[in-house]
Order: sequence, then structure tokens, then C-alpha cells
Amino acid sequence: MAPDLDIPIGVRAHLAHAAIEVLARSLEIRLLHVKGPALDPELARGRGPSTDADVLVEPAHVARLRTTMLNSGWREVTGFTTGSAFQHAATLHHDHWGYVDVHRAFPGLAFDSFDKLWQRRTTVPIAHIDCAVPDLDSQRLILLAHYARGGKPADHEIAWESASAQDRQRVRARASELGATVALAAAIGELDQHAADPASALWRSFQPGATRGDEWRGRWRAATGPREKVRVATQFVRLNRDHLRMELGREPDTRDVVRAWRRRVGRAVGSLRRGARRGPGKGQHRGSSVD
Amino acid sequence: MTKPAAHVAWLDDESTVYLAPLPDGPPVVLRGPAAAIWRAVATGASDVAAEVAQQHGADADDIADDVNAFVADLHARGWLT
Repeated sequence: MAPDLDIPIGVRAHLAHAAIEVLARSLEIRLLHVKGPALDPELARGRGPSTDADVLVEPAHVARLRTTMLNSGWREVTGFTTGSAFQHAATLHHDHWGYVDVHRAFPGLAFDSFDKLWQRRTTVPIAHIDCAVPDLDSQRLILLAHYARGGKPADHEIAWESASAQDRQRVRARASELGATVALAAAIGELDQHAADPASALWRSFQPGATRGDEWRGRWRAATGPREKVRVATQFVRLNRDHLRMELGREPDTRDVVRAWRRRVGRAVGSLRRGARRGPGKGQHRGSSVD
Repeated sequence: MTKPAAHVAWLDDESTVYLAPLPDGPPVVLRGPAAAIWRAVATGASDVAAEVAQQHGADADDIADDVNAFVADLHARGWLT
């Protein structure tokens, strides 16, 4: 037997799914495995190996799972508040199992979608460990919501373009059930039909030509209530220490933080100015992460 | 019948078997004869040595002791039941 240094990253992703499943079962925490090895074969064709595992955890127990993971050899790479603009997932790493993205929500789906996804789950073996996965229609929807945030065109092709009319109708119905109508519209080019929805500006900011300033304006408009507005405003210039740590390859010191903060403020101001002058339609395509 | 333990995750990519005792690991890599033995057990072979010998053009009597010793080792580690 050889040590685990020879394990390809795609294999490690399978083992990561299995490891998290066994851990969650021991804690009696429900979770759904999504994307990568958890995909239905119809959606998985043509895909290369995954580099990490993704799981969606019942929100009420995310903190407990995270704590147990940290006590079981996992190290947090990015936290929920620093991983993305939606604050929906944390990335953890284990020397044996590689990377796992622990989702407490899925961008584009209503925050309370877990129970509805769980009700229609199926079970598939991943590395010979039975794992709960969303139904096929929900899997299509998740791929499309991810595509709408700057995901791979192949996801759109396989989840929508090559889908039958009946498949698409079921995905539309599922989007309605899961509060994902705007996200689906963003993925399939129907966002203009939802211009009045506060969330539409945020989803438009993920499309080609949008700027970081567009993203922040979109988040501002999508934020409901004063507390949420304040959170968005604070994050606009907050430094992401997790990302800075990854950039530097070491723990940032005070000078690193100050330099990075000055760069961030400068970029933020510049982006807002450019957005105000040009309006949407110019700039680089970008994802949803906060840096 | 001997089979992989319920807490052991494993994948077979035809040339190599990767297995991981869960939840703590570590994962291990089985190649060559070791992988063949694991496959034979996992597929429910009634005579593991004969199954491995047939697949590799060997004489079952020549390899039986080694095969049985390896299976016993996997049992002792708790990876087979």
C-alpha cells in the first residue's frame, strides 16, 4: 500500500464527499451533495474531474458541522463572510480529503430551500458511500444558478440548451418553488422580464460587461432592510483577510493589511466612478467573490 | 461473505484502487496485486485467490498463501467484514 500522496485530485474529491457524509451522519446532520461527483450522469457527461467537493448543509446545523470539522483536522481557508458576496459558503481543507465547500445556502435559491430540496432528494453512491443528492430538476437549476454568476458555458449547455421542452418546464416550475426565478432568468437570458425585482440588478452585475461597482450597486438594491444595507456598505471596503492570506502565502502583518486596504479603497472609488460615467455594458466579466 | 466494511470509501479506476477508512483516514492506494485482491473481494468472489490468479494468468496454488495473508491483513485493519 502506498501513502496518500499519489491520489489524483479528482479521486480525492470523491473521498471528500464520502468523508463529509460519514461525519455528518455521525452528527445526525442532513446534507445534500451537489455538483461534481454528485451530479446525475445526464448532467455529468463530458466533465473533467472535480477539484473539490460541494455540500449543502441544513442551515440550522452548519455551525455545528463546521466546529466538528475544525476539530477533526479540517482548516478553514475562507469563511462564510469572506468567501463570496453571498456569504453562502465556507471552504475548508483537510490534508487527507482536500477541499470541501460547505454551503449554508445556494446563491439564487431562497435561503430556506434546504427542506424543499431534501424532500425530493435521491441517493447515489459516491466512493461506495450512499449520499443524498438533489433531484435532477433541482440539479439543473443549481447548475444554471451557478452559470448565471459567471460559471461555465458548458453548464448552460447541458442544463438548459440540450434539455427538452418538458425538462425546461420542470426547471421553471422548480425555480418557482425554490425562489430561484430571477436566478434562472439571469441564466437563460430572460432577466429583462424581471427588471422590477430588486434582485435583478445583482444578477445583471454578474453578466459580461458589468463592473465591480455594478455588483455593489446590485447588492445594495437587493438588500432588504436597514441592517442588510449597512452590511453591504461595510463590505464594500472591508478587506478580505482570507484572500490576502492566500495571495501572500503567509499570515498578513499590519503593513500588508494597510497596503491592501488602500488598494481596495482606491479600486472601489475608481469602480464607482467608472460605473457612474459609463453605466452597465463595459468592463470585464467577473464572478461574485469579494476581494 | 467477506466484503468491504461499511465505513470504508473506495474507488476503482481500473488500474488502481483508492480506499479510505472513514471518518479519519488516511486514504491509501492499492496497485497491482493488492488492487486485484480488493476487487475480487468487493465483487464477491467466493475464491479470491482463484479469481486473482485467473485474471492475471497465475497459478492459484502459487499465490493463495500471499492472497490469504493480504485478506487477513485487511480484516485486521477493519477494512473488510
